[in-house]
Amino acid sequence: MYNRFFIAVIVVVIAVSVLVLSAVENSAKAVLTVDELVHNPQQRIGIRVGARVTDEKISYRTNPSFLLEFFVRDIAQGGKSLPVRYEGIMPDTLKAGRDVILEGDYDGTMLTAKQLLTQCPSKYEVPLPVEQKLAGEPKQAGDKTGNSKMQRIGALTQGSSDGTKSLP
Amino acid sequence: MIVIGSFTLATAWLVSLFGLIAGSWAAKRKNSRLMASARNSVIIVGLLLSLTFISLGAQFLSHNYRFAYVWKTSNNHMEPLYLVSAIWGGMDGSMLLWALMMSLFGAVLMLRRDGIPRDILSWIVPVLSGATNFFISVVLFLTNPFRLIPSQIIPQDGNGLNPLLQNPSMLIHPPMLYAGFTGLLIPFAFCLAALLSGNLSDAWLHLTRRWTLIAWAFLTVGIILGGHWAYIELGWGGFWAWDPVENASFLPWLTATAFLHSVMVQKRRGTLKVWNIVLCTLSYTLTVFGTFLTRSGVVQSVHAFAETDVGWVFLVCIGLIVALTSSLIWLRWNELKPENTIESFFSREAVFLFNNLILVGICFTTLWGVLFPILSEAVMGQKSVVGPPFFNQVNTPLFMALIFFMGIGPTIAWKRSSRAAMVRNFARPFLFGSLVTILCLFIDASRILPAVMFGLVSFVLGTLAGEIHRAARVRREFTQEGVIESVGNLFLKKPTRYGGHLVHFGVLVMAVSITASTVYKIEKDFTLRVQEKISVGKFVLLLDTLEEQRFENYVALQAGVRVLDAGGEKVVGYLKPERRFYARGEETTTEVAIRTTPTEDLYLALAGLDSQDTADSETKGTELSKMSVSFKVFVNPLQMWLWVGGLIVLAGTLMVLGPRAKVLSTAQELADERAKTGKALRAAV
Repeated sequence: MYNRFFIAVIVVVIAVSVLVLSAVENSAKAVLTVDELVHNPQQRIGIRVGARVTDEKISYRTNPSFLLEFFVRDIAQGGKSLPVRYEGIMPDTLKAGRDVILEGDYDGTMLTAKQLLTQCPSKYEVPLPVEQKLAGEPKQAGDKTGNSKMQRIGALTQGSSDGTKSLP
Repeated sequence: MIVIGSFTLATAWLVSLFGLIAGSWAAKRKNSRLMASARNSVIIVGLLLSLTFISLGAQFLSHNYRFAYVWKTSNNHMEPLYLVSAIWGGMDGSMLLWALMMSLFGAVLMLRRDGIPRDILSWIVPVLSGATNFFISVVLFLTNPFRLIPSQIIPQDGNGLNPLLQNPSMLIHPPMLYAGFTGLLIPFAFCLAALLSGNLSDAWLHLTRRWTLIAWAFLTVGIILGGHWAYIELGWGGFWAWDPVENASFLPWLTATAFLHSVMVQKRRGTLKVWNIVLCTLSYTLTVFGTFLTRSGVVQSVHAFAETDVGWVFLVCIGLIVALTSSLIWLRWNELKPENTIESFFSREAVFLFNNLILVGICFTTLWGVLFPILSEAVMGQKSVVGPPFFNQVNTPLFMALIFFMGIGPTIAWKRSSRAAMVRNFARPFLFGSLVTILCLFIDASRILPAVMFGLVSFVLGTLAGEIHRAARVRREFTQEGVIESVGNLFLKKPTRYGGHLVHFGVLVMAVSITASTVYKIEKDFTLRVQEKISVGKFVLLLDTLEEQRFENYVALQAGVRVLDAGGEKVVGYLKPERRFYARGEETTTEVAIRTTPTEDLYLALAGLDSQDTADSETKGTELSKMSVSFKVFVNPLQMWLWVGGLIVLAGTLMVLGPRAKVLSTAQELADERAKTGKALRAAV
């Protein structure tokens, strides 16, 4: 007498696994740093990069179509810069020093971004008003700005509402 | 400076600790005096936390910037309502709100404890106290909102709440969500109390039904409100981004929905007992997991609070819950044996099981997507992410299957459905659904999934209509009622059953809206100068005016856009999207303009001036009429019905919760019902 409960479970488990594995294959994006891209100039499709806009020239045109070109480098200091090309509206928060998340393809020299998200300049946590710092001031939970995590992961806390996120 | 709030917070911590220790002792030793004392402590904790919350609110309303949290999340410009919402605008206050709501649910349960068997009640108290004490500990020791700023000089003004959060939705969306999350503690408390006491009759199940429904209702409303807020506020034209924090609120909703359904199977057939315990535990655990995700920085999200150390504490809590529940299930295994088995796949219990498995499946896939960055880095050494395409690809077929089963479940018989009954109930709706699919494919052969979805929705509508038709016809055989009157009486006399049908109908409406607004969405980026126009779908947009206005803490770029019909002649609307620049923090927000009709939403977002020098505002005044400005426009078909569908779901839930609903409250009543024939039983559920 076979147990219908377990059969139902197994059927659904198999169906879900198949769905998940095929979808991951199709849509997973590797998260890379600018340094990794620049030092290994090979073609990559479907990647995500978290980086900082450099002070090199940002060029933007709206006629005959939108085209934005700028440069980014890793958030950690002193890295090489990478040219980025984005065919869409330039977010008005995009300027040198801002952090962005890019998703797109890399052809060995340039990153063609299909999605561009900019970070709002004010983070959720800001330094508290202090007129003088005491030595050995204990750190309080909730005061981190998350910078070290950003460098490691290369992704960002985003608060921009400029609508440059494009739909799947 | 010490205010009442810090004192009541610390006291609440002590009292809830008492409730946990004394309550456990009293339950074990069956000491009724100590038990009463512990029970009252739950109520007292609710009072104390309310005082704490009010005290914190007073600091906000009086702009008391001595407190770091008040300084961080408010400023002098904010109106009183937003000051109130700022209480939960940051980490500290939101954790306090969580603890407060949890304690209030507990207090209300203590005040309305009639009908709860003594042994279960005695264990509920320490569970409630323990859970509340944990969250109070987090607030008191890790994220204390009454911490003072380091400076000796009191600032004149605060830092201010992120302008994105200064929105009426901030007043309701977080509290609704938190009410949903914390409300799920109650069913879990019942479940754990049943395991601890050994009283594993079905008593715990139907005692919790009302509470589960209430928590589920809050959670549903909270999630839909969040989607609505994202839609009207953020400017990217959508309402759900599969963002990790959105997903975190969705996971417990899925298991709670599954639990609401599988409870009925245990009531009717005495099976799926361990499954129900697992689902109930999972639902509460996933809310704690969600708060972990939001606050640990482990995944990056637009919603997340900044990375803190707080997150990992929640993992410990989850570990404890899982360990405790698993060992108790092991201990009580013999009392959890099923009374029946699932005899046929063509039965309601089998369909409910499929419904459950699919919901849990969606929960799993969503969790997989959220954790994928961590998993991929751990397993493959390369961190990868998945986005909306992954979630949509995996979950769409699962949702479609869910809709299909939604059509079968309410109608198919318990235990085993005969072939004749299946044909009678499902043949015509199936035909109807197939015809709709074929028609859709005929109109647009390239869109297969939407065609199938619309066909499924039609199938379910057909079964629903059939149900109501058959039931009304039976009524009219015995009464002199007209058609409409009999249908109305069905809803009035059996609100539990027909409220459920209404909820399902609301889901169908939402499904149609989501399909239409996602698949047939038109999106366009464009630039215009004043008096220029562009055509989008069946509209023509003409930029009428472009102005700049200064306000107290921001400068607004305002566009006046005339909406014309396709011919460009008749004016059908006027939209005024805005872009706001806040000097403090250099932030910008977009104020979207939406023209809503039953057929579609025309959604217009102002992206900004095309020049790069957005900071310099003096020279712009005279030149705005010559400048070009960029827009994002969306045409979202049937968008409005998503919110309407949500309201229908809420209405149906309220019907089920309403006073006329007959909810079985004792195990004896249930046993009596089970002994009777099928018809009476169906009425009860």
